[in-house]
Parts: sequence; C-alpha cells; structure tokens
Amino acid sequence: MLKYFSRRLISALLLLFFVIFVTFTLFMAVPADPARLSCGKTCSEETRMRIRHAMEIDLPIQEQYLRFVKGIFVGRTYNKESVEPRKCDAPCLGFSFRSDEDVTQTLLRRAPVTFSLALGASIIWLFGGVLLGMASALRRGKFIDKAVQSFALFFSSLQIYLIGWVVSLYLVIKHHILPTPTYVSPFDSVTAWASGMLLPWLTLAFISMAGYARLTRAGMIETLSEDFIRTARSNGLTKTRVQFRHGLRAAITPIVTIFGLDLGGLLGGAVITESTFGLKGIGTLSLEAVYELDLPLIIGTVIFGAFFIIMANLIVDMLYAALDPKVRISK
Amino acid sequence: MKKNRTAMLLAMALGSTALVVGSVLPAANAASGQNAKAVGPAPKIAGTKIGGTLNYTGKSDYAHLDPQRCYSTGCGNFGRLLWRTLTGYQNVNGKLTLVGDLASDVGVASNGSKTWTFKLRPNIKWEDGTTTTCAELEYGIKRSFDGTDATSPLLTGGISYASVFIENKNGYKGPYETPDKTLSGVSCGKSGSVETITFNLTQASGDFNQQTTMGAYAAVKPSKDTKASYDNQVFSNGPYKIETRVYKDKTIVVRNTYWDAKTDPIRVAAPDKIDLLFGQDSVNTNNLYIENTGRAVNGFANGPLAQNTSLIYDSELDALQPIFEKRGFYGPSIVTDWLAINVEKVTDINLRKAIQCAFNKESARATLGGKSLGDYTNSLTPTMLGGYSKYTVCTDNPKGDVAAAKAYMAKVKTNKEITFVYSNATKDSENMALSLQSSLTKAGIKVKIKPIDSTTYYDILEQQGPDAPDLMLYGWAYDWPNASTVYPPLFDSSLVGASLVGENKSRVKDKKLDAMMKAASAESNPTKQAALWAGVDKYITNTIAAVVPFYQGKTLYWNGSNVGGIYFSPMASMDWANLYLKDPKK
Repeated sequence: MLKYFSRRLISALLLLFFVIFVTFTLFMAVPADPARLSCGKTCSEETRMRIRHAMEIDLPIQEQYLRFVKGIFVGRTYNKESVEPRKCDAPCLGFSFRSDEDVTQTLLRRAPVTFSLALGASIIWLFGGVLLGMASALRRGKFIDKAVQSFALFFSSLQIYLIGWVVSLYLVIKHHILPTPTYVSPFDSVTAWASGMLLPWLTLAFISMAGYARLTRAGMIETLSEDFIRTARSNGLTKTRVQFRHGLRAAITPIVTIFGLDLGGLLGGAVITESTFGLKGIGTLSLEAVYELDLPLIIGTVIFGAFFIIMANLIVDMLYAALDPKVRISK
Repeated sequence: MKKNRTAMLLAMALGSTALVVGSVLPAANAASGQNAKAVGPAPKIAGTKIGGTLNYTGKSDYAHLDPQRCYSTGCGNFGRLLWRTLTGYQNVNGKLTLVGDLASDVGVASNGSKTWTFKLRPNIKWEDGTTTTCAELEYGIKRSFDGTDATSPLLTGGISYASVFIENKNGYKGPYETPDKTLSGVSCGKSGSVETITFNLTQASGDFNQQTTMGAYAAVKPSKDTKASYDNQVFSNGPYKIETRVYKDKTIVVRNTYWDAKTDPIRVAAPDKIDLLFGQDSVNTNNLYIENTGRAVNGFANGPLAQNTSLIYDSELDALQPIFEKRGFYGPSIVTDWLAINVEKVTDINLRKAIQCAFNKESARATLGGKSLGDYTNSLTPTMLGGYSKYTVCTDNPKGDVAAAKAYMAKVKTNKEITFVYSNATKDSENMALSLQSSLTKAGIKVKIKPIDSTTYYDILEQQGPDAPDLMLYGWAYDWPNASTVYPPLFDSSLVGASLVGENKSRVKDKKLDAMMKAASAESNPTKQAALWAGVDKYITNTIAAVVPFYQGKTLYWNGSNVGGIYFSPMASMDWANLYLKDPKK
C-alpha cells in the first residue's frame, strides 16, 4: 500500500509541476499588456515601460518562470535594485497587478468561502443522492422509483444561474423564507455560517444530487443482481445487511470516484454558484482576475484549483485501493 | 477617463448628469460658477436628517481608494468622503459651484495662468485629531510623481495631470525614490498666519483650480503612508474613516469624529455609517431594488442599463420606468462614444465624410442595447459641459444619409478597403460590427470587420504600424466638468508616438488643432473658454472629420424608499455628500 501511495504521490506532484509550467507560460505569454491596465490616465509609453519593470514582466519569459517557481518554494523579492523592494514570502504566487495584494494571501482569504460551499453542498448531495438512488433501486418500478427518476431528470436539466436567480427572488427577496446568501466564518457563528450558506448549498446540492441518485440506482440494481448477493441472502444475512454491507459497498466505488473529482473541482472554485449568490470565493476571484487580466491572480487560482483536483484524484485512488484490493495489487 | 469595459463600469458605477426623473435638472454648463469665500457647513437639502446606515450594492469595487491612484469617477466621488482635495465642487440641486476644500479660496492665477496660489483652510483634522498641514498636502501631491516618473512605480493607476502640469526642474521622481529632492513647481508659504500653497506650471492653465479637485491634490500624512497598501488603509481627513475594507468584497466607513462640518462647504455627510457591498450579482440586485426590500430599503445601486448588465430591451426599460420615477433617476451620463477614424490610414477626407454620412446609428445602437445605451449625439462634448452645442455632422437622421455618403464617395480618389475592429468579448459587438458594415456598404464603402481577442483589444486600438485599425468604437468620460479633460487627452499631437498612440485613437497630428486646444486650455474666462471648446469640437468632427460621434451614454440608479438626496451631480456620479436617510432609525 505504501509503495502504491508513493507512486501515486510522485505522479501527482509531477502533474502539478506540469500544470504550473503550462499555466505560467500560457498566461504570461499572452500578447496583452497588463501594464496598460495598471497605468493611469493619459499614460505615456515611458510610464508603461516603468510599470512593466516594476511588475518584472519585462524579463525574458524563462527568467520570469524561474523566479516564479523559486518564489513558490523560498519566496522572492521584487525590484531588488529599487529603493522600495517588495518581499513576497513563500509560497509566493506574486502580487496582484490590480490591487498589489499578495496573491497567496488573497487565495487564503477567499478559500474558506469556497471550502464552506463545497463542504456543505457535497455532503448534502452525496448523502441525498446515494439515499435516493438506493431507495429507487430497492423499489424498482414502484412509485418512489419513478418519483426519484423524475426528480433526477428535472434537476439535472437545470442550470445554477437560472435556478439560483429564481430561488433568490422567491425564497429570499419576495417571501423572506431563507436568509440572504452570505458568508460568515463558522468560528464566529456556526448558525450564521450555516444559514448564510443554506441556499447555495441546497441549490448546488439538488442539481448535483440528481446525477448521484441515478448513478447509485444503476450501480445498486446491477450489484443486487450479482451472484454473491444471492449467496449472501441464502446464507441467512438480514436484508439490511445484504443491501448496505454488500450491495452498497460494491456499488459505491464509481460514486467515490465521481465524488472525489466533483469535490476537487468545486474546491478549486464554483464560479457560477459563487457569482450567482454573490459569494466571494475562489470562483468569483478567478472570474474577476480573468476580467481584469490580472495574470498573477489568474495563475494563482488555476494552480490552486489544479492542486485540489490532483489531490482529490490522489485521495480517490487511495480510497479505491482501500475499497478494492485488486486495484493496489494490479498496480 | 479611458473607457475600457472596467473603466466604463466604474464610470457608470457612480455615473452622471442631466435629465433627472423624479429629481432635479442641472444647468447646461454645470460648473461655471465659483465661490472664493465658501465656508461650511455645506447647504443641506430640505428634509435631510442625520444618522443611520446607508447601503450601497455594486458589482465592481473601486480599483483604488488611494487619492493619488484614483482616476475613475466612482472612486473620486466616494473617495471624497475620506480625503479632501485642494478645491472641490459644492453641489446644490445638481448645480456645481467650485469652492475651496483644503483651500479657503479657489486660487489666484498669475503669470498668464502659469502660477496659481491658494490659501489653506485652517483646522482641518485627520482622524487622529491632528491638523492637516500644507506640508502634508505637498507630500500628497508629490506621491503622484511616483506613479508616473519613478523607476519602479508603486503607486500606479492615477491620473498624470499633476506630473504633466507641475514644473519639475530637479528630476523629482516621487517621495520614495527621491526623498531628498524637491519638486520645484510646488511650494508652501505663509500669508500672515494663513498657510498658502503655490504651483508653478509647465503650461498656462485657465482651469487649473478645477484640476485641483482631483485626488492627486489630496493631502497624505507621511507617517501614515503605507505606499502601495495605502489603497486599503486610507488615513482620513474627510467626514468618514475606514472601519472595514476588504477589496472586492466590502467597505464600511464610519464617522471621523474629528471632522468639523464648519470647515467643509461641500459635504453634508448625514449618515453615521456607510456600508458598501461589492461583487453582487446584477440580476439579484435589480430584483432587490424592484422589490424595495432588505438592504435595498436604506440603499442605492446601479440600475439595469445596457452598460452595466447585459442587453436590456426598450420594452423592459419602459416597464421599469414607474419604479425609476418613484425611486431613482435616469438620464445622460458623462460618457460619449464615437467611431474613431484613423486619419493616418484613411487619408482621404471625402472617405471620412462618407463614413460620417453612411453610418446608421439607429441600427448600431439597437445591437448594443437600444435606447438604454444612450442618446444620439453629433458632439464629443457631453451635454452638461460648457462648449456643448447641438449641430449637424452630415445629417441629424440617426439612420444616416446614404445619398450624401454616395456624393462624397464619388469624390474619393482611391476607394480603399477599411478595417473596423471590434472586441470578441460579446456577441453584441459582433452584431454592431455587422450593422456598421451593412450601413457603410450601402454607400459603396468597402469595409472589412475584424474581431479582436478581448484581452488584447485595447492594445490593438493604440498600436501603430500597418496593422493599426482604420476604424474603431471608442468612448471617453471627462475628469472634471470642463472640456479641457476631453479634447487634449484625446487629440493632442504629442500622444501619437512611433509605436503607440495612447488615447489619440484617430492619430490626429494637427498643429492648428493643437494651437486651438492650447488657447482654450489657457483661457480662464469660462464663457470664452466654452466657446473655444465648441470650436475645437466642430473642427474635429466637421473640418477634419476624424470621428463619427455616436451616442452619449445613460446613467441609472435606483434607491430604496428610505433614501433621500438622490440627484445627479455633473461630477459624473451620485453625490455621496448629500445622501441621507429619511428615517435614520429604520
């Protein structure tokens, strides 16, 4: 298991380095000039050159990349030769071209919003989706099965930006049934945190839950028709034990995979959900960064997202190996 | 103000003037008056009550709050609650009067308007209770030189007027890079017991005392200067101070208890607290204000204009009109948009005149949002500025005049193909380009439309060389209510460089025009100056046909039922200084 984990970890790190390289070269090589956006009124060509120098984007791209990678591990100092050098501590992702804020600090400030959204929504959709899928599979062809399938079809066809506006209008603005979506740190007030996030959680969860319900149903139906289930029943095991201990465990493997990827992607920023509900997380940050051509922030959010997707993959691989010994042996 | 999409949002964010629904009509030349002896407190609107928390809900935060880095109308107007500039505008029912702010007068010009001296108002306090001094004002002004002249500037993003206009004989590069040097064009002195500040300028400027309303002319206390971080840590000498500031998230300002209304002829500052929330979805915000509920009751926000959100159709705008009338205002903004013709490439004036005649403004405006986008104009001067006049550029018909265009085309020696570039950011831009191509083609003009990636669009607009565009849509908003901030920043020959043209998108290098603009800038009599700017306007549109004026934008705000003092300010924004809550306890 340790060997398997080591192999997976090394490949994950290599992949992360590759993402950093591609992201950096891709964005820093764009022909647009960020200095123009930072330059003020009636900006002269000379002033713009000075701003490019201050941003250190007048250096060759390979030099910029080496400094960037060095900054991630040991920090870096911008404009060393100037009278006002700027120190950026490791892990340094640079300073925002627009606000001069430390990108790492900005990401850390925004991350709790995204983590809260991802955590709450994913718990609801995982448990809700699996339970609905199981209920549907165990009552196949009955009313509950049809109801769950209709539910799945309806919600999986919705888009956050549409349903988000509709529920905000009717449940928050018009009828005050739910509080206005907002983020409050759970360390300040757990109740305010949960109530502020409730609507985004439910909206995101219901849309994602639909897919999980269908996946669980399909997996359970297939598993419950397997020979080993019949064997378990014939051995006198209780119905509940057969369904949960044997049926669900076998059916859940693909769900764990999908969940890991979905959660990893969500931790990297739920752009549409966050912007629809006005939550200031990593998703809206990436949107703003793209809009403002704030290259360090764009690179920072992409690396941040990639980190979580790669880590989620790693964890899924580990869970996979734990759930199914054949996986670790075959690797 | 350059009008890229962000700047546009910021301009519209706290946007502008003229026809007011349910409010007050400002004068045509809104900034013509001045009062050299204005004292505080500022005149209150009838019914103004003190106290309560005012809310603002917006999509975008201000790029900067540091006065020396602030160049948008939005940050300028909100920022004035935190910092006081040398002069400012007293706003009474939308009529602006130039008054002293840090100064007690509006300055005295001498040496042919190349030297200006201001007396400073005593007892203006910082938020720590200390008095604002001339040395601190001088320090603030000097910070502008870091953004433009420093080798590695920290204070990027501000306006460069100060560094362009103020004499700098010693190679001064801001207080960080050249702390031991002096800025030759600024000096503090005394007249009796009163502090004075004197400016020696590089060129005659008849409206320099309007330039000093900009953030570049705000004081900064050196011991509180956190350089690039000052943006989020402004040390206040205005009526409010920052309590919370999280960039792009929220800003809360509370009273600066040391601010004395008797020293301030500009700001009423009625609410005790102002709570700004940014990054909010436009649709949800619109619904909140339509329903007049939650934080909207005590607040205001931008309304659903084409510039602020996505396309809004004329019928939707009409349906919302009853709400604007009860709670809001809707009228022209300070932004004008036009087609800039590259005169270096489109050299035949008959072809340029043909473009002016053939352009179907009605069709093009419909693709970009219809009447919510703005009103057709033939002038680059916004209607509220001195120098605006209604006149004809080829035709007043918004559909254009194809016959007149064909007549000009008959005189064209070489009917070369012209390229119109547009940003591929939205489908609207492509539709506008197709509309333009269609209307010009009807007159026999060969037009190629070329989409440009939105990230490089504004870089392409200002590049020189064979790939420079022939025709492009561009816009501008003035910095202070004088056409001196419209024409010289857009058409001065010096802007046209070998590789870049800055804001001079038409690439105009015309000595006669330069001389006309110089004379207008130097004129200190507002009436004479307005007439000179009107001449400049007509010279650009009709004589050299370097542009096709298109439309003057719209501004729309809506407010909650508990907010009063909502009316336009020709300072291009909601005037924060006069807002109040009808019931502060609500």
